[in-house]
Amino acid sequence: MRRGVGLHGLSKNQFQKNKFEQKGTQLQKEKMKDVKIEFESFKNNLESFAKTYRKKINKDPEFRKAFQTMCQKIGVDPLASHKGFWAKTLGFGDFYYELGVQIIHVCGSTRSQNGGLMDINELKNKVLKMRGSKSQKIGIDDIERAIQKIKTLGSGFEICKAGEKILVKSVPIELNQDHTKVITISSDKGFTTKSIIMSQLKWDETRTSLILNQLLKESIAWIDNQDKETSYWFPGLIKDCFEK
Amino acid sequence: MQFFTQLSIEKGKTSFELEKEEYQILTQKDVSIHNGKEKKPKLKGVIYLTSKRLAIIDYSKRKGFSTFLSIVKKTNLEKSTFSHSKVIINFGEDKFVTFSFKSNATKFAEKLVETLSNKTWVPKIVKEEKEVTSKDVTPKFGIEFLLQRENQERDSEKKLLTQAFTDLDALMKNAQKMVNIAEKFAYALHKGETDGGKQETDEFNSILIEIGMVDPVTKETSGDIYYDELSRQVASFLEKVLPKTGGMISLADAYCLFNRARGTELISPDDLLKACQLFQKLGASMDLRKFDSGVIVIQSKSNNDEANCKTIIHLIQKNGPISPFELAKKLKISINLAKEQLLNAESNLFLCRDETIEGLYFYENFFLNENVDNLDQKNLSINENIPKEKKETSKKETSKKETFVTINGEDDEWQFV
Repeated sequence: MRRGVGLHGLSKNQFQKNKFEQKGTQLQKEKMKDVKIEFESFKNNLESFAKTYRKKINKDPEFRKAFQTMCQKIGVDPLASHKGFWAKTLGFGDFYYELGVQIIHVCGSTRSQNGGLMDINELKNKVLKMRGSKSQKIGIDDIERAIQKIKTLGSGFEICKAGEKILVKSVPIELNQDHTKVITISSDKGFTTKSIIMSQLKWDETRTSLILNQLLKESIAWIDNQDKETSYWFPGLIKDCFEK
Repeated sequence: MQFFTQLSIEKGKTSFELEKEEYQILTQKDVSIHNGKEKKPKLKGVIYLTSKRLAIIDYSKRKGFSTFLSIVKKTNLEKSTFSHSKVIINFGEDKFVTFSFKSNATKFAEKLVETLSNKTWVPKIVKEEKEVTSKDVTPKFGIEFLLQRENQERDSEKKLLTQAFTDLDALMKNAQKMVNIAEKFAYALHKGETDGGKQETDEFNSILIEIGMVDPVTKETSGDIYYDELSRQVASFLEKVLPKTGGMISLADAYCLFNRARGTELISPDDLLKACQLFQKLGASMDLRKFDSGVIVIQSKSNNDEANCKTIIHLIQKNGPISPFELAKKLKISINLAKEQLLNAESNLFLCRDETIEGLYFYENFFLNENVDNLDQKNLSINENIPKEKKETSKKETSKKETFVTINGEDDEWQFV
């Protein structure tokens, strides 16, 4: 075989390399497509198995564990029981308990973005996505009912109304660190405004005003309406600011 | 008792630890263990049948015995209508122990025989064997060969996927292989997603990924001691979770995480609440706590009042007077909680308040500061100790005076501002 020496050889090498890369990415794409198709069928199968054989799956601990791992890896929610007659009429059975677990899960995993405050429609959509395509459709009233069911676990989880929006609050004040965040970003100037908070912490209006109002109520913050935008002062911080 | 090993339950723990891949099958209370035919029981307590062991535990004494099912030669049920029924476990050569049951001996004996004949200690789901492709021995290299091999692999996977999902038995047989495929898929797709910057990992999900449960306690396995057993399981589950959530978790979050770990074996909110209310009775390392607002949380014992007071006082000694939000910032907790902790420490006489126009500040209560050093030994019921403390403080009056001066000095500064 002739060695590719010289200018011609170099360009030939380059050509070969390009070809290899092209082939590689093409194969990768094909493989990915294949994996996605198989993945979907795996998912579908798991979903229907979870629904049909739930009782049998529960009977064998070892298999139950394996099944659970599969569901977790593939992203199938093993909890997908139907809203039966009793659930519909009296709210009995696992249906609402399952929904409760899913609701808390969605709220918990989005907490870093929304501080535990979520629009009920958004929550519904995320829960629907989690339950998979095969499961029964749920409505807002189901969400409300499921939240009612978890009231036993204390008053931290509740539905509150803000204007026309219905929000689900998943973090009780006792465990909320948002106030501390507001105070932390105000600590150089001693005051803050809604727009500062919204731009710095990337919060929405509802979350911001809720936290500010709570701070006002606790008289940690003082309100000043004289400026163009309402500002909120923290007397406790003023001392530090003057010292600086 | 030579076939038994001693078990002991550490302080703060509520149950004996299961080995990996071991799961509970049945429990029964009011059982005693006798060596051979001895009348006097070695121990009285709760008996556990797991997939690997037979264990009996006296929770009041925090100890027990366990033996491996694999060495059991024979079992025998001696029914009796008037006294306790007995289950005799034979280890061969006339060596045996007797378990005496107050109730449900027959059910236990049946389950035991079933477990022994199933040999549950031998793992059923065998690890995937590496299939050596013997048909195609001619070693080939190059792209063609690689492609061929990959296609083969994919084909066999596809076959398995359709096969395994024909019915439940097929899936059970291939469980481990299917888990592997699932893992592979998850990895491949996840990689694609991270390239698109879609990945979101947060605290909540990361806890979920790490924790799974092999043997959820059910009403079926534990019968009349269901809540005790459930409580033990909740406690040992949360022991792993609480360090990641700052020693405190709302009951709703705990409900979700616990049920997720249990998979399809769901418990109701009421069951969880009942189980958590038993923490104290069972000596768990955590407590249920209800705030005035109605919010219920579970907090680890290391997070209790005494430790809180101590931390606060150390912070004050280091940085001077403290306000609720400074404390919240330092401890990374909510303002409400911080305020509550400070008020609590105040009502326990460790702090005094200073209500200024700038907000509420807390100082150390110098009349009691001897208590801080001895906090470990003393209870928070300080009221009894006050006369003693006062005597001691008067002795150290000189040092006290100095500290007061500094406080006054600071006060002056504030007025100046």
